[in-house]
Amino acid sequence: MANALYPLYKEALLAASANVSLNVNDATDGPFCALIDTGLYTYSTAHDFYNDLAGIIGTDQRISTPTVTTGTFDGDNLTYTSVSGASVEALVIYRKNVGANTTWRLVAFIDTGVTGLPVTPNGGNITVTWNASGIFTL
Amino acid sequence: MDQRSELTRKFAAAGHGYPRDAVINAGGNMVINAIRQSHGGIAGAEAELADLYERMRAALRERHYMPDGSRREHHIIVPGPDVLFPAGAGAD
Repeated sequence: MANALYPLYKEALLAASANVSLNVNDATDGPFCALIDTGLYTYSTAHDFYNDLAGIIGTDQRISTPTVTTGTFDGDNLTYTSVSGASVEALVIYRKNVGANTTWRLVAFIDTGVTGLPVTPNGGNITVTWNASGIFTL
Repeated sequence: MDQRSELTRKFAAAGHGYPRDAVINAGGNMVINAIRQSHGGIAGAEAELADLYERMRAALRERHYMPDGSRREHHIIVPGPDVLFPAGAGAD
């Protein structure tokens, strides 16, 4: 699988649907990132919300200080603390909100070209460092 | 996925939800059973077990702990947008 922006997220963007904005810096409302075991989750173009995910490892982290500038989404680096569980082969960025996870939009699936993936958690921290140029560009 | 990785994943999945001691004990029994089936004498079996122990010890040190003895952190470094999603890619 290659990296992908979930097409149903793009559809929601174009339709100006609810809960699509990524430049929301709130503890329960904004972009988050999940560590994914692709042994339990397979990307699908039909996936749209968080409840479609499986194989989530560790505790999802919020991408704080998110920015959207000239089409590029960026945010702070992440630290997953004391992670254990199965191996992680992918990252999934999603847009959380205070509602049910059936309304948290899946944004991006990233599993290719990433240094440090796959990683087998050892109970220690896992950090995610985004590129200085940003996370993705539309 | 190679056979080692595939089997490791299956073992990990099978052990999920069991107490740590149960997983370690079961893993040890599997090692012993695998070794004894290839050796008619204890000397050869113990030599293979000792070799395995050294490789496990090295892997533990190199992959999971820092030279100072503290637990190793894992670092995931994501390339830039133009690398993650080259022009024309990432459509679905």
